Parts: sequence; C-alpha cells; structure tokens
Amino acid sequence: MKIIHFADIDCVVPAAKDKKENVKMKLSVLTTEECARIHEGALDVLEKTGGKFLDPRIQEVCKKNGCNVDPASGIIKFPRELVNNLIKKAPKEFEISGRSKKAVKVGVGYQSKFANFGTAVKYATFDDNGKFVSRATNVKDVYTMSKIADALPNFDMSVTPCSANELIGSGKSKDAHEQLEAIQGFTGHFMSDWVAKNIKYGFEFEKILLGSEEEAYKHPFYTIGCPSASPLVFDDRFAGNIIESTKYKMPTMAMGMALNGATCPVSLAGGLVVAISESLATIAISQMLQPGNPCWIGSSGTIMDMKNGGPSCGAPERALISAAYVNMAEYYGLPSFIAGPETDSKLIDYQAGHEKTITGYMATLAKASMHFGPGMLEGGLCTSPDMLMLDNDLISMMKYGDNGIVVNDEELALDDIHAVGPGGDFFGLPMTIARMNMQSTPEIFNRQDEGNWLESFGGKESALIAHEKVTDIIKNYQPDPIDRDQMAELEKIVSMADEAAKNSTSVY
Amino acid sequence: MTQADLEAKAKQAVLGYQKADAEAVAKQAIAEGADLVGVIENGFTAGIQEVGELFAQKKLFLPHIMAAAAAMTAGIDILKPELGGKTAGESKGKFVIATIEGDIHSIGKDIVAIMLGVAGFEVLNLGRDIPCDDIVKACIDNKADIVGSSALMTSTMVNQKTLETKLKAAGIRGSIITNVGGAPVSQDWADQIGADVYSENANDCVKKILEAVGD
Repeated sequence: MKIIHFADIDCVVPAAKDKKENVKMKLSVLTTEECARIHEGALDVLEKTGGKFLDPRIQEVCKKNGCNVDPASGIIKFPRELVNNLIKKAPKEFEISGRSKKAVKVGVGYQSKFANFGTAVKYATFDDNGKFVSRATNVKDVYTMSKIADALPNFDMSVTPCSANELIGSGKSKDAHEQLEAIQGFTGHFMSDWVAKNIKYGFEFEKILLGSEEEAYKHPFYTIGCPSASPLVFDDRFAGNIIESTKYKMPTMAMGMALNGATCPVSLAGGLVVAISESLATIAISQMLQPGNPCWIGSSGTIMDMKNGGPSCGAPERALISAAYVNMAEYYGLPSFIAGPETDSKLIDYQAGHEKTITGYMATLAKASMHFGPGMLEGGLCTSPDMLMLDNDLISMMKYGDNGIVVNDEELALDDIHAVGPGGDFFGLPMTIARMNMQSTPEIFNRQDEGNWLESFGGKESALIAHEKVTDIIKNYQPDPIDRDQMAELEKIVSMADEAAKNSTSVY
Repeated sequence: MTQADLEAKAKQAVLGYQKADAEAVAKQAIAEGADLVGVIENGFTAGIQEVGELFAQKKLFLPHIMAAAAAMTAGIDILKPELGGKTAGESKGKFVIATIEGDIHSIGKDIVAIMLGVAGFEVLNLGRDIPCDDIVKACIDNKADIVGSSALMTSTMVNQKTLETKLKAAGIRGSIITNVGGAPVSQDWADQIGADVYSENANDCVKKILEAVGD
C-alpha cells in the first residue's frame, strides 16, 4: 500500500455545499398535509376575521387589490385566492448582498446560514477580574458586535446587534448612528433597525457605497422587518416600514411573533395559524406595493411561559415553532428567517449550551435559510461577544451534522477495510490523510485530555478562551475599510437624519 | 337567596374563573335588592384576593389570575352603575396605566394592570399607543396617585421621557408617582428620565408600588 506523506498532499477543507443535495437529513415537524391545513387555517383567518390595519395607506392599497376594507375599524379581510396569487409573486430565491462580503443566495434547498442576534439592550462580557457582567449597550457596541460577526466565518448576515441606548431621547437620530456603526463593522447584508421615516437614508447609504441608484435598487443592503403585533394587528410601524422599504426594493421580513397562550392559542398548531396568517398578510401587502419584491417568511414565535409570566427563547417549543416555520416556508417555496440558536440564560453556562443547541439544530436540520440568535443571552435582552464566538463553533458543528452520512462505494471504503485487515490502523491511508481537515474541528471547544488542556489553556473554561479570541478580534481585526470620501458622505447623511430628528415628534 | 349565599356565589364565580356565573350573580343581587357593596367586597374582591394569595404562593399561575380577574370585572361592571355613589373596598391608590405613544404592545401592561387591581389599586387602563397628552389628562381628571407607562421598543421609550416632561408642565409631577416598565426599559433609563419607580415585571411592579405608597 502506498503511503502518502502528510506534507505531500493538499489537505482540502470541504467546500461549503451551496445547494443541498442531501435531503434525507431534513427534519419535518410538519407533513405536507399538515402544512396545507395550517395554510388553509391561515387563509380562513384572513378571509373571515381579517387583520386590523391602522394606516389608511395600507387600507387603500388593500382595497385597490380586492380586499374587503372597513375604514372605521381598520379591519381588512383578504380573499383566499388573492393571498394565494400574491404569495406566488414573491421570488423563490434571491441574493442578499452587502458592501463587500460575498453575496449569498437564499431560498429553499440551500444550507442554513446565520446572522448574529439583535437587537439587544444589554452587553455582557468578562471584566478584568474574570467576572461575567452586563451593562446597557451603546453605539460603540454596535460596531464591536458587527465587527466580530464580520471576522467570524459563519455569519453571512447581521441583525443590528444592539441599541445605542445613550441616544434615546438625545434628540439625535439613534437608528442612523447605529447603522453608521454597523456598516463600518459588518460588510454583508443586514436586517436593520432603520425606522420607517429614515429608511430613505438607508437607501442613500446603499447609493453612496454602490455608486448609483440603479445598483442600490438591484443589490439592497437592508432587509426591513415588518412585524405585526399579534394577534392580527398591524400598526403604524408596520405600515411605515413596509411602504418605505418596498419603495426601495428592500427585502421584506414577514415576521410572525405570536406568543402561545398570550397572543395566539396555547396549542402550537393554533399559534402557527395566527403567525402564518400574519406573515401571509405581510407578504401579500409587500407584493401589492412592489410586485416581485423579495420576501422572507420569518418567525420569532414562542410560548408565553405561564408559570414565569414571560416569553421563552430557549424552550423546545420555540425550536419546534422555528422548524415548523421552515417547513411552512418550504411549502410556499420561500426563504425562511427563524429564531435560533437562542437561550434564556443570563450566563454562558450549561443552560445556554443546551438551549442554543436545541433551538439551533432543529432549525438547521429543517434547512432554515437564515437563523438569527447567535450572541443572544437572556431571551434577547442581552448580547455577548463571547457568546457569539462560542456560537460560531456551535454553528460549525451543526453545519457538519447537517451534512449527514453519505453511503456509496467510495464512502463504504471496503478496499481499505480489506487492505488493513484485523488489528491494523487507518491513520496513514490516503483517504484518512486527505480528509483529516474535513473532520469537525472546533475552534474553541476543547477535546484535549486534562493534562494537555491544563498545559495549553491553564484549565480555562471555553467561555474564557472565547473571550481571549474576542479580545484579539477587537484589537486586531479590521473590516474592509470604507473609502474616506464615501465615509464623509455617509456622515453627511447621518447629520441630515439628526437635523430631521430635531424637528420631528413622530416615532415612525 | 341570602346575602351570604350571594356573596359566596360571587366568590365562587371568581375562584372558578366563570365569567357568566359572575354576571348572573351580579344580576341576581340587583334583582333581589341585596347589599351590592357586600357582594363586591365579600364576594368578588374576596375571591380575587384568594386567587392572588395562591398566585403569590405559586399554586396558581398567570392564566388563572387573568381568568379570575375577567370574571371579577364582569361582575363588578354590572354592579357599579347600581352603587349610587357608594364605594366598595378601600383603594390603595389610583393607578393610571398605558402603553406609551407609538407602541401598541399591550400584553405585559395588561398583566401589570390586572396584578395591581388584585393588589387593591384602583386601576384605569387607558390602552395602547396612548398620546402623552391623553395620559396627563387622565391623571388630572382622575386625580391619579400613580401613573405607569410601558414601552416594548427602544424607539418608543423616548416617549416615557416626554411623559415626564408633560407631567411637569401640567404641574402635577410633584403629586404623582411615575412608574416605567417594558422589556428594553431599565433602572438606568428610569434614573435618566427621572421616573420614580422602574419595574422589571408585574410582581416587581406591585411590590415596588406598594412600597412607594407606603403600604
């Protein structure tokens, strides 16, 4: 047997499979028939009960498209066929791009991709004494978290990670300052927190960085969240966001956020009916406003924990709802954007690891197009750079697991088994050597024995190792810089937003 | 039916979370010319207090207290117009509560309102997306002792600051306790805008407001 020396071969890291071929690993928490029943239930809700839409502009466009609108109550009822036809107008897949990170395609059949969590109001990390502490977030944290996500290999998208709390009530345009920091730190696509009246400034950002209006329409940097307030209320925020974002052809996030037992039935299936009806209404209106506009079907739904009195982001119910939403997205043939890996834990501990795995892995196996949740602690109130670093490892492991096991002649390796025979080893075989870098290899999680771990890492827990890596990224990583002239233009836009904020009393 | 029977029935309607029973006993009490204040105090209120105690002991939970409060409210709403100016029970204070202008998230605020009612406060729940001017007016019109505002988004928190300013401008800030809450709201924010009480959740709100009114 010819032994190939390690130095003589190119160890190939497996190329990320784009379009998934291995569908046998797909997790279906709903059968196609069950998806159809939920869909029919949602259509029933939209047709008979309808939703409450507070903005007259939405009432007008819905009326024009054939909905039954009661201007006095704001109730809009959607004919079934209209909803079905409008959903079909949304593209099955689309490309998400940013200022310099490679654009990626999202849609049914592609391997799961990940965005860091947002938008938190607390930032937790280790202090100089090694104590894990949290504090209110500020505008610099937006840059720090965005930059860390940019530096790590598993983040193709970024949700505005945290709030510039110090700017609330300052008279300045909080969202414009946050987005200026975010775009310097992260170079890919965003789900941003632009408020409706300032989405136009987001479009200006795109024009400045892409060089033309035409390019900005073609390659938007921003997905805009258009959430309803369950059950079935669509407020001024929804109206402003969907009207302004579709004007600029920014992808619509049709996000269901129902809380089982509180804002939708306690049963998971009943909750899905409410959430899906809200998502479908959002997609329908997006298509009315801008036919062919890209739409994600998204879920941030979970249970209201009746014994605790609040929502849970780490519950297995949240994992089931997210996976079900991915199944529903496949039923519609639309890209999905769902919760996970997430946790209710306040610390980087066993609870966090368990909850993140269950909420992340179920949706990964269901083939979610995009996850949000990495970096999250405390059910979404808190973000942590150290958690984000560890979540990057978790994602690598989940993606590895999602590849499944291939069984064919090459993989069965019968010739090798015969050649090695009883009592031999497989270390030096060409297949072993060629594939050694194709094994799962965590960056932070430690697989050494105790002696080596103590020697190499001083017996530190994984969170502290992650913190060291994060500290290094914060100090040394430089995202692709923005040209000085372009930066000056962006700052000018933020000044314009600040000036407008001074003279505005409206939130949206 | 005796007064004691009516009161027992009213209490049982609350303890059994039966809105229809609460309405029926209230109508029966009016028809029979019963002591309506007694039906409220020894029936509906006694029932909700028992539910509240069991909730505090973690023997009952949120759905129970919400359903019990709905039954109590249904019964009392029928009796109120018949009281002829008499008042039932001793209020720990008048609490005006609203989700702040621009924000339509109301579940958390409604839970807080129910819990304050159970604790003995007279609660005026204005609803959601309530303009600051309307909140101030409600405080003046009702001679409120406490005003609570809830915000679920960082974009609407700013209106809690506006409310502080408007209460001052109306000349009532010195005579009213202000309370802020909502997921993104914090003690830091309360301190920054000069709110008196920050509450993290419904139980925390009841506890701190009871302390603030010196109960």
